Amino acid sequence: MMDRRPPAGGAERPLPQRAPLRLGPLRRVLSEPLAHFVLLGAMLFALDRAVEEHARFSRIAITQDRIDRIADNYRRQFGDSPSSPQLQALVDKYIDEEILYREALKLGLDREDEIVRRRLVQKYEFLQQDLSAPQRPTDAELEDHYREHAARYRVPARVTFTQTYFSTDLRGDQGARRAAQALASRLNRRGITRAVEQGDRFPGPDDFTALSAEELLRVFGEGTLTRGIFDVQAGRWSAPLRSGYGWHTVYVTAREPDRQAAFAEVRDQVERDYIESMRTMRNARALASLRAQFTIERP
Amino acid sequence: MNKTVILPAALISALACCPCQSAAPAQPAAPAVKVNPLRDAYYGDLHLHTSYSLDAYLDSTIKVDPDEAYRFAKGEVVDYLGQPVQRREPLDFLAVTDHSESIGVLRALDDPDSAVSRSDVGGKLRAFLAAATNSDGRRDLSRVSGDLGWWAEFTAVWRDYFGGWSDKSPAGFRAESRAAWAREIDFANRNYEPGKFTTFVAYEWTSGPNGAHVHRNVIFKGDTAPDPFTSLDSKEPKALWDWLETIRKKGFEALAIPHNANASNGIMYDWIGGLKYIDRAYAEERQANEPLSEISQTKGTSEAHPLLSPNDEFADFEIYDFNAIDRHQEGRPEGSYLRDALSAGLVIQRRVGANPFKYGFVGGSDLHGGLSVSAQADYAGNIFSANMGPGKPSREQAARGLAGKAAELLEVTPKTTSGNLTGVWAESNTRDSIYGALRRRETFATTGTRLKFRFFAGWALPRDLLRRSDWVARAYAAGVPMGGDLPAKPADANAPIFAIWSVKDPNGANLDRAQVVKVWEENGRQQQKIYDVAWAGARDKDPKTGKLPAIGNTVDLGTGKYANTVGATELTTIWADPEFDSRHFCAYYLRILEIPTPRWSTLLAIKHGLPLANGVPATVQQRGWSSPIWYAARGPDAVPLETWP
Repeated sequence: MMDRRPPAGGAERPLPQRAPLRLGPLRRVLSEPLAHFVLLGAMLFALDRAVEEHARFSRIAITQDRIDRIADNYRRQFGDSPSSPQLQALVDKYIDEEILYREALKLGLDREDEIVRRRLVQKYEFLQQDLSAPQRPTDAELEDHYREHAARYRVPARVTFTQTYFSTDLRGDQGARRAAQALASRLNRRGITRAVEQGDRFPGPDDFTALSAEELLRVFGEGTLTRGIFDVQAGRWSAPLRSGYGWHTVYVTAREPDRQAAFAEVRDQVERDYIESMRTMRNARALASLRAQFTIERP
Repeated sequence: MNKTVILPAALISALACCPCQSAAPAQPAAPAVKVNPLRDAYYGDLHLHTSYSLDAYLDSTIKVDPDEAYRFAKGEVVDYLGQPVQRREPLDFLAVTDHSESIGVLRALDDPDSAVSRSDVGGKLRAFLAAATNSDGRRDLSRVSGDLGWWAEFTAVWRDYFGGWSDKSPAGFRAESRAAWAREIDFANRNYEPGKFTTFVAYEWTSGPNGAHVHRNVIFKGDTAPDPFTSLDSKEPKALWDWLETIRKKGFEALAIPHNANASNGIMYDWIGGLKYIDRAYAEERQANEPLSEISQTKGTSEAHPLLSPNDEFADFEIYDFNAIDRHQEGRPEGSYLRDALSAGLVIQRRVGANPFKYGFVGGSDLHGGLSVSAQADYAGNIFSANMGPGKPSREQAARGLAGKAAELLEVTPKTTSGNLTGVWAESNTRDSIYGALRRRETFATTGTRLKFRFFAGWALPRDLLRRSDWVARAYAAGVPMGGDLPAKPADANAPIFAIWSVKDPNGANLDRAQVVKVWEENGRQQQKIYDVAWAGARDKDPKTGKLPAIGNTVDLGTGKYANTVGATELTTIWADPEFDSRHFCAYYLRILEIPTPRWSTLLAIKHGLPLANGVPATVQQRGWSSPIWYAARGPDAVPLETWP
């Protein structure tokens, strides 16, 4: 791997110029013995404070209370008590975390680190959601939401029909088409409305209720059946229509144009959408109200 | 672990039914989830990466996140490189399986103020990625291919944060990973629409010792999951199974799916080198935690290798046996392919009493651009992980890739292929139902088409079964479906009887033939044989070789069009094993071949008026594989092997 550090000892950058120290009258005061004493005392005091602070910083007390809390956390998460080695490992992990936490504080990461900041923000967001999760929207709220976003809740056009299938495996392409044509004419003359047994066995259902264009495409593939069935006259056997499997004549019994979904049909979907939109809005509102408490200074 | 607090839809409906709500006025029921006790085929992808995967972020121009991945898969329009794209046909289910190692971390590079961007490694990466990106925002690694420093940095990041060779992730990166995992769970739950589209909480455990893949996808059944067990925790598959057993006791049901065995250099299904550790407990633990294995995906098939199956004229299909890191080195085929593993498992079963390689089959995409595409026409060589619409390669990029730089990392390589699919036979399109199908191995794989087939075995399936209109109900009652175990042989039965029903993709090519692949063990030796059991057109098997002649090829290499003037819509038959010996442990699986159609590389060449790709066929016979059905010798026939063969 290439070493990308600059060459050592490079002195291209000039050192900053230092101003000469000007002590003036202070020089005289500092030469007094009393001042020496006071200064020494102050230094000792400061040193003592520093040692004490360091001792506090570097001392991590693991109390029984702390151990109980760690064990309790584990129980709540996994349902049973940690074994003794597990508990030891958890306590060690706590100690590691505490050390890292204190080191991080020492570096001032709590004041400016992006990740810590984001963790806190995220934690706050989750808290917000936790607090409001039990509230279930009322039907009135959901119906309002449904009306405001009506365009999202549409039911596609649907068609209900029975079909008789002619296999190209058994009859060849033209043979299957002609058979479908002949059967359609016969059935139309006799006024018969279902005739599955007069064709070949279809590798799927024979009768379909309220199929959308998307579902038609998945069941029959691209072809004149999928494209043309919405234009077929209801109550009559159709001219031969081609699917991805072979030829069909279809008898449409009902057709529904595309329409607005009734609230009851899409209630679950509305509820999901509503909860999601509320969550977004609540977070935005919470943030806005917090923001109002701060004065934000921008460069 | 952050608890996800977005209520999953299932929970919301559960709440709606709780007694405390009974005073509310009765709601008209929402459309009920369709349930078919005889099961329908559902198609999906259990293997897809988004920009939450570290490698996908580094390689890719695209910033698709798991939410967009799910929405695209269910048929919604998503923005892609600034343009709207929509899937040709929606999938029924999807598991986004981002690499768990440093999951979601590098996305933070998009924000110059993030801690990741401001870290040492992040700063370097931003500079390097900027150098490898065109002015239009697209990644173009050819800009830096001569820059050794770039590659050294790339490799170092790979090793330290991803490869599991060392873990140098700073604590901050790990925090980012945990948050990303919580979002992955949230995205999966939010996109789950019972009855319409199923999602799974999932991730990929990315263990690749020496560049040989032993990767596994971990699929969770429920809507919560613990933090992933990653290859930084352990690179040993057994450690992953141990973890799965541990979390199962805590209420997290999950299974692992190994994949890309073809790129494992023989270690995925190794047993010759592993005899020392394969005992009954090992075999049972492996079977319990990974009932499925991926048989095909964009980086090649793992069914069979021509060197291991010299009598199978269809074995040389989308073979991609490169070591995953050093693509100039071919892998060891033994231990890298499922047909070999299935028969090895039977030998091991006779020796130790359990079968570690009792695998059902699934297919996946393993695409890294966040959009799962499975049609040959929608795959475009995966240039910098992009395939759809504006992500398709330019004429110049296509020319470079198709000219045969198969060994080049991240470029179009004509050796890869479009996304493959998993099929499941399930009662309804819900997590419970589809996960149940995965658990009982009632699954199949296709190379991307919606080819459909059923496969049953029993000792007394009637000859005229398939002529009955209620044949499926009868087959379930009298036999076992794909993925199942034959019950003990009745004294009056001679051989297992199979019911085979297959039908073409309504938007795809006709069928060529249906084959039963049989593997068995005999005196501790692995055996295999392929039977053509149903085929289209009037063709006779060659009396000398027993082979059925190839079907006609209708592909016009000038236009890329083919015609369904050969082949069949449906192939069905009842077949009994003519060479059954009850003393041998056996497994049978179904392989269905379509008629030849143009390979994606051919379509790409035609589109740009380029010469056809080097080193790959111009046409392919797309296909499907069912999970096997197993037969176990019992009683006096099940004499254990005393020593390893």
